[in-house]
Amino acid sequence: MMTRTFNFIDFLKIAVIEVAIFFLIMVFFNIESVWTLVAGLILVVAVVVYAKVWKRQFSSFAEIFSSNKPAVLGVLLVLLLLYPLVGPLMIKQNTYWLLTLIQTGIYIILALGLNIQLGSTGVLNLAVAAFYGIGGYTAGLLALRLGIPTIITLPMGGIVAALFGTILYVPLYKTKGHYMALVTLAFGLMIVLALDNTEFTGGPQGLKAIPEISLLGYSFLTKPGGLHFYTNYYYLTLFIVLLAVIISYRFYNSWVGLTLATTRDDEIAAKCCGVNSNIWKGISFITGNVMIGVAGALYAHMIGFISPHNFSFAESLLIVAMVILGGLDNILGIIVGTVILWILPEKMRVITEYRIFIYGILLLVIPMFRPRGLLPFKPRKYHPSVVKVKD
Amino acid sequence: MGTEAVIVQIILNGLMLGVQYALIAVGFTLFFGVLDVINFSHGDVFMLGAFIGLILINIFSKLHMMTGGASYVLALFLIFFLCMLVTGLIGIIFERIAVKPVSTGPPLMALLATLGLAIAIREAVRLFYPLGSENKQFPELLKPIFAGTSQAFEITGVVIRYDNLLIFGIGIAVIIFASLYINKTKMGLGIRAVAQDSEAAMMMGVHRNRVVDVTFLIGSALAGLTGILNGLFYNAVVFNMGAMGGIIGFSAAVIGGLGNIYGAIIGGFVFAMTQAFSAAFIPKGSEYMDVVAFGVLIIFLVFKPSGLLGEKMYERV
Repeated sequence: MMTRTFNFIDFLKIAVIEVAIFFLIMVFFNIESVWTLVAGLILVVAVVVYAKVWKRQFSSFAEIFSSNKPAVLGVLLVLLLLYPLVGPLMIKQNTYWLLTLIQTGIYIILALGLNIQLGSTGVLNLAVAAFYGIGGYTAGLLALRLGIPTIITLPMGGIVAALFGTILYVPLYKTKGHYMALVTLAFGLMIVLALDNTEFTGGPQGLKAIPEISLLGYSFLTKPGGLHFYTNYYYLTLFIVLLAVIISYRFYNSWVGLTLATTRDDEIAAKCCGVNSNIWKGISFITGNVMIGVAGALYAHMIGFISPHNFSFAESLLIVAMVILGGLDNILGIIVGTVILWILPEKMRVITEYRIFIYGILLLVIPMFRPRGLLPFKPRKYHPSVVKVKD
Repeated sequence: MGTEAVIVQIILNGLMLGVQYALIAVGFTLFFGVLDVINFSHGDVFMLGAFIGLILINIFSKLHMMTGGASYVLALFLIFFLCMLVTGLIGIIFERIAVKPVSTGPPLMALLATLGLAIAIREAVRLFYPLGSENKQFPELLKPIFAGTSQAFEITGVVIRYDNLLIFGIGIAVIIFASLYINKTKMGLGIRAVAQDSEAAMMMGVHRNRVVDVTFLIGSALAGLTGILNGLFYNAVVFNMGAMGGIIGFSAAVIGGLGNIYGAIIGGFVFAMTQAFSAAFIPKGSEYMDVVAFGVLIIFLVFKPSGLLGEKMYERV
């Protein structure tokens, strides 16, 4: 059984491995030639294969990692907090990668929001980008036209997205399966087309010069200690991502998560057990939209310019792909999926033209080898005596 | 133009678009029937059809078959036929690589795989077709057939072009042919049987894999033909036309009720008519046309949650 005694040697092992991976990632950011990149990727695949074939050596490390979760997460958090300070010393195009990491964070929030809908409850939302856009436009319009401080516009993005979600839920709960997917698809297209053609929202040119975030008089354009001003956004995004992860974990591990999972797996059985599936589907749909809307508001303030083009159907599909590829209802899997689908294509900019082509091939090939996602969800473990459950 | 003429014009536009939407929607509904998947790459098969048509036209004009007379009609027929054959075979290949390997897993995985395939096809056309990222002009193939005539006639002030009429005629003929094939032949019976209950069909001696192959052949061939018809109608094709074509085809199939071929045909015309009427009667209609069409779609699904002719969903335990 798990013992919660603090083992300094184990802690040191964890710290060394995580720091090594951290530096390897920064080296990965620095690689510019295609062949070095390919060689590096082959190396990573080789390590994964090694870990699969020689399970015994690997499992001792896996054991250390899985039995010391607080230490693992603590070291990870410290490294993430230190990144903006170490980055300028290590990385050539530091600003670019800082921005990429912030965007990865925003996509993690989006994917976790979608996961509550799609992964936990099985509501396929093909209008993620529309809710993302609603959040962004709400924040942008409130800040630009009414001059409302950003401490209010950020949550307002989420609230307005939730309001639209509530309206959409009226037609949504009447339909099922693919018909449900079509309702969200149609809604997403409607929102983008409407934004494109309405002058109030700036039409196809979108909103320009959205003011930056300033919290308690601290403008996010100031440069803390000579670092780039994106550093501010990095910490804010990190904070919101942590919040989203904690909310997702609390959702998953509570009776709410279990209720949602029953409606996903067998709606009739859930109804027979007294679960009001319509209400719970609505709650999960709206909670997810709050997270998606906040991500939109954050994006609008950070980039300062949004247009309907940012929130097209292709964007929705990208986020859906992140969730499905990473593994439905598995928070760690979704984070991995998001990082792969956002950072890898950014790195593939070296091969400019063929980037999206290879991205499509990846989406095609990965499901063949991992038909349940990269990290499929495991059955919940509620009691130590039922730990050994076979699939 | 009087109001009567306006309405005739709108209905004509709706019919022209409707036949194309219906042809794409039939594919969606057939695939859903036999494998219970939504094939997101179907829209891009439609786009491939247009580009394969372009390539075939180039080949035939190199062979001097596009000059006139009987050889011209033969060349036209061959273009249509070869295009349908090639897209049909491509459809089978796509089914083998993207749909069947993942169809045993959760249904969302098929969505992801076909989505990846759609992106790959679209990008492949953009990268590997000469000047693929630009709008391509599609030659007006059907005009020379009516070379001796006045090219058009008038009803109540509305000009109707013969070549558009021919596009409509080809589309309707193919739809009728396809529905006859599915309803009257033995293979069609197999398709319907697998759609209803694939295990029971297999026990009755239906070769399921062959049925699935034939279904993808028919569906993709129809989409390929639609690609050519679309190119003839707009005189232009572009590498990303498949995205919207696929979405509208899917919408039409859902309006009609997934799994029902007549539903898909009706759905295609309903969607096109909604578009055409909202373009004409709503202020700033041409911009808000699709907004209204998709809004109507959502409201429609509130009252008919499983489409016009879809199976009523019974909940069984």
